[in-house]
Amino acid sequence: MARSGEPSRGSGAIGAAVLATGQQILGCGMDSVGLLNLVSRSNAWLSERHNAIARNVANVNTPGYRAVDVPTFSDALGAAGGELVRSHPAHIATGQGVAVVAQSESEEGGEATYSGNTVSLEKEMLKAGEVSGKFALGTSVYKSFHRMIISSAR
Amino acid sequence: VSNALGSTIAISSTGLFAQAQRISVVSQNIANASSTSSTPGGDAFRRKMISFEVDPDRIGDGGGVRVAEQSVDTSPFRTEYAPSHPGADEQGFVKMPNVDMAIELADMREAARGYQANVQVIKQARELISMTINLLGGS
Repeated sequence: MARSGEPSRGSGAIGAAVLATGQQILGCGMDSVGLLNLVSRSNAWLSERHNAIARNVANVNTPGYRAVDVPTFSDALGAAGGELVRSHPAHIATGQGVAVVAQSESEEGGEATYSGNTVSLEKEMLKAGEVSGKFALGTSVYKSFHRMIISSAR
Repeated sequence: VSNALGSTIAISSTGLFAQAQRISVVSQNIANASSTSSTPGGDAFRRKMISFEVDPDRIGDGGGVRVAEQSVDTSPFRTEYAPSHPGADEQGFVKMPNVDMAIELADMREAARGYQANVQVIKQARELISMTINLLGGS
């Protein structure tokens, strides 16, 4: 059986046909919405949000610390025409297409304590649970789409 | 993806370290809750305090936390009447440490809660990373 991507010499025609089908599937069928790309962007955004949560939790007892958060995913995606961008030199360098979003002071603004700290552990744990759930959804979607592509190319 | 999650673990570990140091200071205070001077009229143990600040060295990496400074509580000592004590002054009063158990216990609880929260974040970051790695093993 010829595999897509590496057609054997003997069955060159079949190999080419399979390859073409595969490209069709990826080009205009399943991945027309850029789903796999979208999922990886979404997960990159979620990791960044988790990073902001970690900052807040680490600084839960730091006097004067203001809680940070990232802009919503649709804002981050829409702000630069579908591209997440590095907006500050202090941000982690982006690799190929790895999205990094700006972390800014949280607008929800929890009650400031006497020391001027606005972190609420409860809120952070809630956000962390949300991130975890969405991340799991993203990886599951990625996995099942990948399986569909593989099974159609088989 | 793993870059942000990797630094997440680094940030949370700074939180763990800071809270652990705080618990250590609390334990020093509690251990020395009745350490008096052995010379007449001398000062007793002064309660130690710790304060945190955002770690500026790690800002590019995500801004963890670090111990800013250790200072001492300058509030006045309690005095106890114990004329036979080696640390008693001419009137027979001994200076006792300015450690308040209720404050120390509240501080310890708060530190333990902060520590727990940081551990939770590390656990979750690991889960997210392994979810991504499991993409390789699936299908």
